[in-house]
Amino acid sequence: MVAESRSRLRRLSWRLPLSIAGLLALAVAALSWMSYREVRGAVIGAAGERLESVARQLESLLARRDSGRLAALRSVAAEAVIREAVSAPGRDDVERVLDALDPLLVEGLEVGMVSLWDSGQALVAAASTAPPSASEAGRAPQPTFPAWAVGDTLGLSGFYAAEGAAWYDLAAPVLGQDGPLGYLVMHYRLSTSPEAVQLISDLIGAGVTFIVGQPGGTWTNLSKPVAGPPPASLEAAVTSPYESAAGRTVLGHGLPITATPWMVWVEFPLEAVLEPVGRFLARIVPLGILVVLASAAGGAALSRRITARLGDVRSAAAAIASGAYDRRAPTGSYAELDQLALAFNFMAEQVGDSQSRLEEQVAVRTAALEAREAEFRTLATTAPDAIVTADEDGLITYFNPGAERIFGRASPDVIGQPLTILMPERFRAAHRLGFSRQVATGNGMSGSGTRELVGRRHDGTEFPVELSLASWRHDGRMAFTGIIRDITDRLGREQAVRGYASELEAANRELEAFSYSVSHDLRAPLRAIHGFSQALAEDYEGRLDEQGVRLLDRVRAAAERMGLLIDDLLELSRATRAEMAREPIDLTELARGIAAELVANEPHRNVNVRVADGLVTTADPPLLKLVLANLIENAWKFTGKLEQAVIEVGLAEATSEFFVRDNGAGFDMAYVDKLFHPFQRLHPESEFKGTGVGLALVQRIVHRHGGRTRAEGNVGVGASFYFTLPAEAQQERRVET
Amino acid sequence: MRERTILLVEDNPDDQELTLRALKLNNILNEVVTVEDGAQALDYLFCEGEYADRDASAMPQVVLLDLKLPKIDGLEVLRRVRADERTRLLPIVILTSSKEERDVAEGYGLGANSYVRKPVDFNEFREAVRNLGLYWLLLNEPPPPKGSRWLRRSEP
Repeated sequence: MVAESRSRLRRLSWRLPLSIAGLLALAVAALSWMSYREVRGAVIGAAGERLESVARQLESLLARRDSGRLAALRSVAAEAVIREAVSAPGRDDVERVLDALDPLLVEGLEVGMVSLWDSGQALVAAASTAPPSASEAGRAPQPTFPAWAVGDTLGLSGFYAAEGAAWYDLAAPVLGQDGPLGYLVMHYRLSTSPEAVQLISDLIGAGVTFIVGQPGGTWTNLSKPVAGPPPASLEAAVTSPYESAAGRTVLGHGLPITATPWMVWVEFPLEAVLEPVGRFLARIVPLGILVVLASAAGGAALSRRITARLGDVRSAAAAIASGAYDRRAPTGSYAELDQLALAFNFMAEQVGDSQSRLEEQVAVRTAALEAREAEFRTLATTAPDAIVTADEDGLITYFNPGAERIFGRASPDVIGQPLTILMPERFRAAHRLGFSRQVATGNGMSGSGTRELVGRRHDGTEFPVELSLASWRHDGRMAFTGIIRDITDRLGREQAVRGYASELEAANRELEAFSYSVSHDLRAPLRAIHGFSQALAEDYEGRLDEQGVRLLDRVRAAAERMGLLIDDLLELSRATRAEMAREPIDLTELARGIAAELVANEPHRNVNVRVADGLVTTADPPLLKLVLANLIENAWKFTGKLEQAVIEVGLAEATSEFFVRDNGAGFDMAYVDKLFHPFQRLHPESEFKGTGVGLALVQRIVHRHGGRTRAEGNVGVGASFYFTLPAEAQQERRVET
Repeated sequence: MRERTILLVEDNPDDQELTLRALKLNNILNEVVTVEDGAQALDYLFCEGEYADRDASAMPQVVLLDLKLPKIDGLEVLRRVRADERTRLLPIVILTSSKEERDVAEGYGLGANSYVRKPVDFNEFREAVRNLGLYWLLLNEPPPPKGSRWLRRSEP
C-alpha cells in the first residue's frame, strides 16, 4: 500500500495537481493566518478601546456613588452628641448617640452597621440594621488607615468578605479643637441584587461584566465577593484572554476609581469580541478551500493533458523499442511538448534509419558468416583427417566425422572428454604437463609444424599419426585445434617409395656402368680393328693388291661407323640423364651462332639462314643447344643438294611453337611417325649421312622440358620441325642420378 | 734435351701396341715403360714393390694414363700422384675412350695436364699423339728432378 501510494506520488498526473494544490493551500493558509491575526489584533484593539470607555463610565459612576454617604457620615460626625460621646464617654448618652446614628442606618438595606470609636481606637458605640453577632462585633474594622489617622478627610476602606457578602467601610473623623476625637465608621454591606447587576451590565453592553475591588484585596460584583482579575494584567490596556470568575474566557481592563482605593475591572467575553473574526474566518476559509480545490482540478487536468502527450511519446518509444521503427509521436498540443515530440520523431527517424542500416549490415554479415561457417563446416565435415578442437581445460569441444572414423568413436561420446583418451596411456602424463604449460604461458601456436605421434583407437589399438596443432584466444580463454592424420598408409608408402628409390638408384648406377663400359670397352676392339687394319695397309703396302687394300678400307669404314653409332647412343643416353637447370636463353643468338659455325665449315655453300629476332625462352642451355644444333644441322644437311638453300628459324605465334624450316629434300608424311625414333632413317646413308639419332635426341630433350615436337614435310619441297618449350616444366621426365 | 722415359699405363694390349705405334710414327723415340694397372703405375712412380730399385730421381717425361684400369683405376692414380710432393708436378695426360669419360675426369678436378681421346679412327689418334708429343716433349720444359735443383741453386 505504502509502496503503491509512493509510486503513485511519483506520477506526474498526481504530483502536479497535488503540488499546485499543496502550494496554494499553504499560501491560502498563510494569508488566512496573517489576515486572521490582523483582524484579531484589530478586533482586540477595538475591544480594548471599548473596555476603556466602559471602564470610564463605570468609574465615574462609582466615584460618585459614596459621596452622599460620606457627606451624611460627616455631618453626623460633626454633631455635638457624637463629639461628646467620644471625648467624654459615659453610658448615659447611649440612646442619644444611637439616635444620632439612626439616619445613617435607614439609608438602605445595604448598610450593615455603624460604629463609633474614640481616639484610642476603643469602640464607643455601634448600631446595626440587624443584631450583630459576636463574631461581627469582633470583625468590625479597625481604624488603622493612615488616611483616617490623618484626620479631617473622610475615607473608604477596601472591600472585605463577611457573612457571604462583600463589605467596605466608610469612615469620618470626629473632629475636636486640636485633632480628631474619634472616628465614625459605617460598615457597608454590598447587596445589589443580581437583577440590578444584570441591568447595569445590559446598560453598558451585552455580555460585559464588571467587578470592583482593589489589587490584592477582595473583589466584588457589587452583589457578593468574587475572584479578582489576574494580578499580572492589572496595568494592561487590555489583558490577554483569561478565565474569568464566571468561568468564561474574557478580555479585561481596569481603571482606578477616583477618590477611592478601588479599581473597576471590566471584562468582555472573548467569544463576543472575536465574533467578527469568526465571521471573517467563516467567509475566507471556504473561499480558500475553493481556490485550492479549483487549482488542484486545473492542475490535474493540465497534468493529465501533459502526461497524455508524454504517454504518447512514451508509447511511441516503447513501440520503437519493440521494433516498430515507423511509429511517430503525435504533435499539436503545447509548444514545448511539440518540440519534445518533434525531437523524439527526429530521433526515431535516425534510430529507424540506423536500425535499418544496421539490420542490412547484420544481414549481409550474417549471410557472409553463415557462408563462411558452412564453408568451414563442410571443410571440417568432409576432411578425411581428424579435426579435433579442445578448450583450455583440455576437453574436447568438436570431433569431426574424419576423427570419428580414425579413432572409431562417435562425436557425442567424446565431446567433453579429455583429449588424453585419444592417446595411449604412456603419453598422457607428458601431454597433460605440456598442455598445462602451454595454457599457462598463453603463447599462441600457429604453423608450429607437424609432429608424428601415436594415436589410440576406441578399441585400444595404436596407430601412427601426424599432428598439426594450432591455438587461439577467444573471450580470454585458449582454445586448441588439432588436425590428425592417420599415417599408417603413408609410412607404408614412404617405405615403398624409399625401396623404389633405392632400386632406381641401383638401376641408374647400372646404367651408368653400362654407358661407361659401352664407351670404353666396346670401342676398344673397334680401335683395334681400325688401327690394325691401318697398320696392315701401311706396313704391307705394295704386298697387297688393289682388292686387298679396298677390303681393308671397308673394314676400317665399318669400324668408324660403329664408333659413330656408339657415340650417338651415348649422346642420347646423356640427354636423358643429364642434370637440367632452366635459365633464360636468347634463342635467336644461339641459332645464329650455330648457323655461323656451319657456314664457316662449308663456306662454299649458298645457304640463306633467316633467324627471327627476339626469340627467347627458358630452358637448360646445353640441352637446348643440342636441340637447335641437331635441327639446323639437319636442315643444313638436307638442303645440301640445292643451289639456293633457305633455312628459317622462328616462332609460330598462334601455337607458341618454335620452328626450323628448310626447303630441302623433305620427307613423305606417311613416315612422319618414324622420324623421331632412334636409328630410323628416311634417306639412304649414301645420300645423306647420319645415324638417325638426331631427331630422337631433339624429341627427348623437348619432352624433358615439358614440350612437344612435330614435323611437317613434303618430298622435294622441304621440311618443318616444331617444338614448344613451356615456361614451367609440366612434366619433367627426369631421372635422378 | 735429355731423353727421358714415357710411362704408359694401359691394360689393353691392343691399345698398348697402337699407342706405341702412334708414338713411333710421330718420331717420338723416348723409352716407353708400359705398366698394365694402377698399382704397378704407382709402384713405378714411387719406386716401390717390383720397382724398388729404380732410380728415384729419374721421373718420366710424361705419364699417359688410361682411366679404366685393373686394381687401382686411373682417377685414383691421378689423385695419389697429385697428393704426393715428389710427383705433384709430374705431367699427366689422360687417355679417354669417350667425351663422357673426359667430362667425368675433369669433374674430379684432380689436375690432369691434358686429355687425349682414343678415337676408333687410328689416324685421328695418331694426329692427337703427334700434337701431344710436340707439345709435351718439345715445347714444355718438364719439372726438374728435386735433388739436382737443390745443388744447382747452392753452386754460385
